[in-house]
Amino acid sequence: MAPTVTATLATRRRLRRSGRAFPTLVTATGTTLEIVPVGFSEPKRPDAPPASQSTSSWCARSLRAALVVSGWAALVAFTLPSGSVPRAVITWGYLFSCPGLALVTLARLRDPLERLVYSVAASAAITALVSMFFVILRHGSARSTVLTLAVWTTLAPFIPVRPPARNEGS
Amino acid sequence: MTLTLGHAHAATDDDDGPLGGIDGCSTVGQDALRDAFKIMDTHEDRGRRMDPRLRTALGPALRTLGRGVKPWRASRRRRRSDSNTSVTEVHPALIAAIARQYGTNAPNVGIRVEHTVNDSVVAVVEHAGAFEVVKLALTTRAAGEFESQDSVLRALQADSGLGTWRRLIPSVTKIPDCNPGAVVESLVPGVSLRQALERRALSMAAAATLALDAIDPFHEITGEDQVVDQHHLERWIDEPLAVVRTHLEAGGTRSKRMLRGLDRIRKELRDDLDGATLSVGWVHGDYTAGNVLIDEHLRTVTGVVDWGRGRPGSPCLLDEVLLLTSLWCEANNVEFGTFVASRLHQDDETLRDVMSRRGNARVLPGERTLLLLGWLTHVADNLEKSSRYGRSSVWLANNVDPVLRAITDGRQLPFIDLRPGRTLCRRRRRDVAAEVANRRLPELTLLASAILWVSSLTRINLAAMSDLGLVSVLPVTFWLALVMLSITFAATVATRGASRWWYLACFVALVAMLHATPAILYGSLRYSWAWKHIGVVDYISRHHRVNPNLHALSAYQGWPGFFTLNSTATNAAGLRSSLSYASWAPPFFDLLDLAPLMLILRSLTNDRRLRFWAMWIFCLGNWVGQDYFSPQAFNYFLYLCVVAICLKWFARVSPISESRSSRPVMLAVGSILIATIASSHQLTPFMLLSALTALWAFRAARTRTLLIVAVAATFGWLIFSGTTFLSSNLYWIVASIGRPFGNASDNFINLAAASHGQATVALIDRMLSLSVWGLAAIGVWRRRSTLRADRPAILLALSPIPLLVANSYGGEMLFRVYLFALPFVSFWAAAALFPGRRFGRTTWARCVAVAMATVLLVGFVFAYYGKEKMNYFTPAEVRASEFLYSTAPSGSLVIGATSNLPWAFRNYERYDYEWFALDPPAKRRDIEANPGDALARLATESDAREAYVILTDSQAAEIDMTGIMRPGTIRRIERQLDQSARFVAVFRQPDATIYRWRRP
Repeated sequence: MAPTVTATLATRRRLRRSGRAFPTLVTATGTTLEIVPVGFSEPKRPDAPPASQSTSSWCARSLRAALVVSGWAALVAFTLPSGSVPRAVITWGYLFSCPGLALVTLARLRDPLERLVYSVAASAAITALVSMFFVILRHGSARSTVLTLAVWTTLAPFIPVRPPARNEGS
Repeated sequence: MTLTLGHAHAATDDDDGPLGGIDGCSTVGQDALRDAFKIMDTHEDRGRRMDPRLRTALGPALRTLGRGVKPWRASRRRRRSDSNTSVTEVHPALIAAIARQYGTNAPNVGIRVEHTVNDSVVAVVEHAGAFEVVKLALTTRAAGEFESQDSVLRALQADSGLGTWRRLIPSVTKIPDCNPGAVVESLVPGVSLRQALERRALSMAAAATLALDAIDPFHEITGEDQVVDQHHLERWIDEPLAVVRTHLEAGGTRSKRMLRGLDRIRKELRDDLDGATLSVGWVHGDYTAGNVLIDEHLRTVTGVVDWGRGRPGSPCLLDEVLLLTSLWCEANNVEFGTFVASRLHQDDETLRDVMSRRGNARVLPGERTLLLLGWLTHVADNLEKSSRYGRSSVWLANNVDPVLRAITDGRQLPFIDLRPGRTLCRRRRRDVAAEVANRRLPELTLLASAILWVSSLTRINLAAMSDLGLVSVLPVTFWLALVMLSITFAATVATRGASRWWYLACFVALVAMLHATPAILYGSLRYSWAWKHIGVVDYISRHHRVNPNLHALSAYQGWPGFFTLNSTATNAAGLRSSLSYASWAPPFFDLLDLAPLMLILRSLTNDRRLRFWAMWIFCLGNWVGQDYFSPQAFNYFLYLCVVAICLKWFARVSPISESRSSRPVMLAVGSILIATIASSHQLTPFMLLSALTALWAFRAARTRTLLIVAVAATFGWLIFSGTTFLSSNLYWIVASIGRPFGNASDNFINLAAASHGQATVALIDRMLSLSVWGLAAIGVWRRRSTLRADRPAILLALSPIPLLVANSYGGEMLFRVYLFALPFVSFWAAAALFPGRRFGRTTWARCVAVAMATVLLVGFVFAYYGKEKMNYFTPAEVRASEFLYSTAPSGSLVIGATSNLPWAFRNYERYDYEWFALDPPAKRRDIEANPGDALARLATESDAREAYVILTDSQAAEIDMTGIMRPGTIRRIERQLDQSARFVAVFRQPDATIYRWRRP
């Protein structure tokens, strides 16, 4: 008989939400032990399903929505007067944060500084590469670059990524 | 896999972190225990600032550390410096004990040696997935302590009345045949209260409440109210006093008068406690913040360890006194004795108030009695526990002497107030002033520094600049501002728990003072190369393409990433030119670089002081001036980001649990950065290749994939886009290969030919560079015991040097090598002051740090601002350039002494350029002798219909300062051209003159 341990309510909730299998141990005598929180009655699942988008938090969904909108907002900003502060803020804010953020968000970075640095660096790099691509094609223009990046920031948040392994953090 | 099922402390495979205070658990899982196990103070906790949950997966790290076990060395210095190290020193007897416990063929045993100050060595052992603590006594006294703890824990475990509270107690078993003694203890999960407080995971009040709530049931169960009698007094007072007296008399350094203080303490305590009714029962005896383990997230106590001083029949309030006092000592950063002595003569009763509020209407002795009883127990127990305390004059001076002096002499120490809301008027004015000075020092100095800097900006006369550059016109207030800022920074670093916003404020202020000053003062873009880059961006904006076949600045057309980025940014914002923001590039890039540098340093050390001082030294050592609006500044930032990714996400020893699933994404990020670097700059890709190769070849990081990406990107781009540039420049590239000394010496200006001011500046910047490297050498020596763990920092500091052999890079290679090594050299330079956690904490060390920072700061200002006379362009020079390009028709020839002028390459595809000061010496001499004829000949030999000669003050400054032509040459040429019939002056201002030549 598998021994049981109790877990806090929060832990139980987390376990239910994640849908993970419970850890098993094999003792020196060969007995398989399963650690099951007391009160947890669902049957064990052999394989953990991938973390679906629906399990993500409100923050993640908001960020994804913001990324989807941001590129098109930057394109709309081209209609603002040249050199105006709102146009510069919107377009630069987009070019130097969003393309990289769309990529970096796929990694589960917990350190805010890391997220910020890599987002800015990757944004500048992606913008440079895309703009260089058009320049090499002899059709370099800010609009075509921003349009391409807008497509990227619209699609990138929906790239499926491998969920963390069982003993990794979420 | 066979698992040893150890004592239970945590139980589920919860991916969100450890669990504490779980009821009824009897089995522990490998993953659960690994999650529950928090490691704090050594190598594995390099990410101290990160989310604490990242540090929980320790298995791989421990196994790796186990391979790095080195023989024990009894050197005290080495053991003192190992706080940041992964180079584990293990006592041979400890290895023997571990082998005896787990068997000699135990390949999965991982060991982490804990730092202890007592006569024992402690190792956390992972064996087949289970974690246990092996403790080895080094002295019979420590063995006795183990025996004592063993008997205490057995007694408590056997006490069924304690019920579930026993789960907080570790289980201990002896290892047989170990002399003088060794035990195996189950690992209690959680972090100590002290560590949680250091990380500010919870407030001091919450910590006290948590710990007292945890120990209260223990006292309630085991304690009973008793009237204190002679038997109690002998055990609680006379016996500890005898221990203290014996040690002090044996030391022979305390006067009889001080020893009489012990008698007074005895009398005082006996008088107060005799006949009092107190709860008497089991006590922990050393219930301090370091011995209470908690779960930071669930805010529950997970264990109470170190029961060697546990005993029955003691006053239960002792644990409360020791806990509160230890917390206040932590908060005020003072030793126990100093704290007690500071409060003995005060009428403040905070301790008693706090205890009485919790204590169910119990009657408590006076504050002074509580303090003295706690002090006596603490001191006597420590003296009994280890002979080191008795031998340590520092410990005695901080823990014993202040109390004895306070008792015998009535000597008072500055009062330590414990209640934040308490009015200050009860304290002496001098103490208040001292406290205000200590707490407010960073704020005051930062404010003063900012005021001084702003006031100095209004008093700088740029026209009076000499060949010492901006240094010659900086007022005293500017220097004072910098010194004040150094003090602010040093005080901030020295303040335990200083807010990160303070650090940010210091760095922002430093970068603003050092790099924003020209942008604020000049009113025009500084440095001619920045203007040239503006010209390239302008070209791409106008033509929407690149042309590697252009005759001027063709290298930029082959590596256009930075320029296309700025072209896009400029057009997206609707700006006319990137000139609008390029002036602010130096402060922007210098501030930006600090962010990835912080990430790098977090991977290299968990010592906060070392990190911030390294960043400070980086700012002060970065004098080479590659932070202007340029591809190299942009690529330097990307380079630092790639290195940061390598050191964290592709580290050889990675305790980060999140890395596995995130690593592919970070690989993609790194690859994109590498691709951008390869297509944006000529030198940075090779610096990166060198760094990645070093990390991979010496097994400091798993950078093989990134290295392959870098090789493919670098050489792929060379073939795709760089062939045009290479074919026309191959001769000097090939010629400089294999000339390390020649390539290095190409970088130095000729001191004999340069002006006196420039010779001084050159000497200072060389001394500054040597100082940083010299400090780094000292740092390497002082951290020599941790070199194995610091291998990445060594490799990255040395990795740019091979590039010296490969190329001279137009005479700049030495500076670039210095620049790319600087982040890591700065780390080592800071290590000269702070090689370990225990170093650099004295006032003397802090003064040395401030002095060093000030010297480096002065050197930086000379080195960085020393060439400002030629880097600064007056408004008249800018107008002259604009006039030139608005007047000269396409196809004209532009002649100048050098390209050191604003807009040197505007619309440059339409013009030809001739910079005569860069011509061969014979030609230069010809121009100096007869400029009118020589310049007319230059124009005639070209195909241009018209030629324009532009001569400016900044060109004259460059020639005079570097000595490439005789001083005053520009003025002589101007005079001769004024008299020449072939040239007509079409623009004349005090700072710039333009002459037109027409083909006859």
